Amino acid sequence: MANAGLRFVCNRFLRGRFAKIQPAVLGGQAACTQDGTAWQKRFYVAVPEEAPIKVKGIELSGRPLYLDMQSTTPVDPRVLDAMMPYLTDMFGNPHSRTHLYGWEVEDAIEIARKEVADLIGSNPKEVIFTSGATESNNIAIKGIANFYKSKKRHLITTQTDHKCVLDSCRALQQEGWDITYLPVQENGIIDLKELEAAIREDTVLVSVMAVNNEIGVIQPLKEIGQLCRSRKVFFHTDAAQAVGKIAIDVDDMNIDCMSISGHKLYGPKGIGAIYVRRRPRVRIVAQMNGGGQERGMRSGTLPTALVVGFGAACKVAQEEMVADRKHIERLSKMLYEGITSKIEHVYMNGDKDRRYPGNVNLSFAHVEGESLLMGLKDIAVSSGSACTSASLEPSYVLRALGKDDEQAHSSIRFGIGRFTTEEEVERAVDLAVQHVTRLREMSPLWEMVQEGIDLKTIQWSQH
Amino acid sequence: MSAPTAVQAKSLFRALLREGKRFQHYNVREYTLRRARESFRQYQNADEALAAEAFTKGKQDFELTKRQVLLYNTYHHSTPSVMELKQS
Repeated sequence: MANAGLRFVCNRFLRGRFAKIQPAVLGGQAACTQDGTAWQKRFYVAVPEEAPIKVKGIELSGRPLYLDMQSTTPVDPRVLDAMMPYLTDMFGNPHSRTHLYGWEVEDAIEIARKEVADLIGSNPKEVIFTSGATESNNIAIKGIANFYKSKKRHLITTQTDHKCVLDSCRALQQEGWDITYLPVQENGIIDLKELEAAIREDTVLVSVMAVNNEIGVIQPLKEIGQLCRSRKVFFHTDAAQAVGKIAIDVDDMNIDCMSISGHKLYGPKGIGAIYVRRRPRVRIVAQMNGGGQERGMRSGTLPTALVVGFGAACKVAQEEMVADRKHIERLSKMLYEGITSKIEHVYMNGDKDRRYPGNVNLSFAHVEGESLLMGLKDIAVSSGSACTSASLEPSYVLRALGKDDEQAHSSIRFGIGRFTTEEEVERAVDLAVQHVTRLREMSPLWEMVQEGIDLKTIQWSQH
Repeated sequence: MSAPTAVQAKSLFRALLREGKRFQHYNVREYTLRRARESFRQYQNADEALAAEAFTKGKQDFELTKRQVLLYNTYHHSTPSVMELKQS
């Protein structure tokens, strides 16, 4: 036993040495082309203070720890391993019917299709590959609406749905469709009674996001599915953030149409799928016309490597779901309790229990969100969805929960995933506590709060 | 396919850890090591059929790890993760 311990120490010691020697020995190429800078960089690993990197005017000591798993996830090594052969030897067009190059990749695609179908409990024939969840959402909403437009003219979605769902609806509105944007309750979950009341004779589709990308709440899919089935309305769900993370079964939940994204479940970017039910049949008008691939619903040559990677990601997600869930739940609890036990006036946005634990959206009262994000430059987090983080507008999702601008501005979304480590969460807690405390100490508002003044009662003078 | 002996299982476990440690990418390395430990613990007292299945999968994972270590380290970013720097 002592022997093993010693060996472990030796290994670690040697690994440390090698990491520094390696570039000098092996990195000849890089050293030649960059005049020795490559190994200098590596040399500085030991003395990081002297080697800050500058990106967009911000000095960073190293690559930030990644806690933004809702915007995208890294590609799993198992996924990359499955993809590599299709980026090298097997480059054929899967729709070529006359030679081996086509046949071998067509087989790979059908295996991938089955892997996706298995994860969501559907038939492989019901899975249509697309470029991602945005395209899937567009196909579902515009495709269904266009097919049934002679009889129907009403759609229902929620105020907290993803931008691409809302924008597709907006486009239909221009064509004369009626859209109901269902409000959500304070916890981010829709009221089923309100949904029931909103369904009309001419309603064709209800589109509700499965797991919210900003606050992580899980909508009652099964109940919504049941309601829609009983009222003979199609049910579409944007499950980009849900598939591979929570258990989804399209039959059990009566889902008619579902959007899936590859890069949210440790797959590659640029690939996704739409599930379209065959019994009872959901008909859609294709948004992309061409060679009639994917049963005519989405023409265009399939990107074999991406499809195979997506399939592998689904397979891995299914195998790892229990382990991932356990790991993420533990870290999520650690993060939330770590922060809330050390600083006060921190609120979690969205329902506390009906949520995906990998998404922790916290509002730090009396702190300006952007300043906090700038302070937390060693953590890659965001204040909301990546799509809206370019604008300084407060998140429309948090506004829909009834949060005021101030609260919406001071929120940060921490995303935990398969590759997040305990040490990263510990560091994130330390940094968040340190920076929130620092910003609050500078703030006159915080001083007033400490003195017991309710900020809402203050009459600010106008200048 | 019969179940592996304790020696075989341990040697595969050690090989997997040794290979996983070669990942220069912080998160991938830590994940590989964590999952290796977790799954070996999980199947420690498994029955014969289950252990045999896990052993076969473990061997595949080992081969995969070897390939991916090569690939990842070839394209590894020269800037280290903040997690690998000394905390200031």
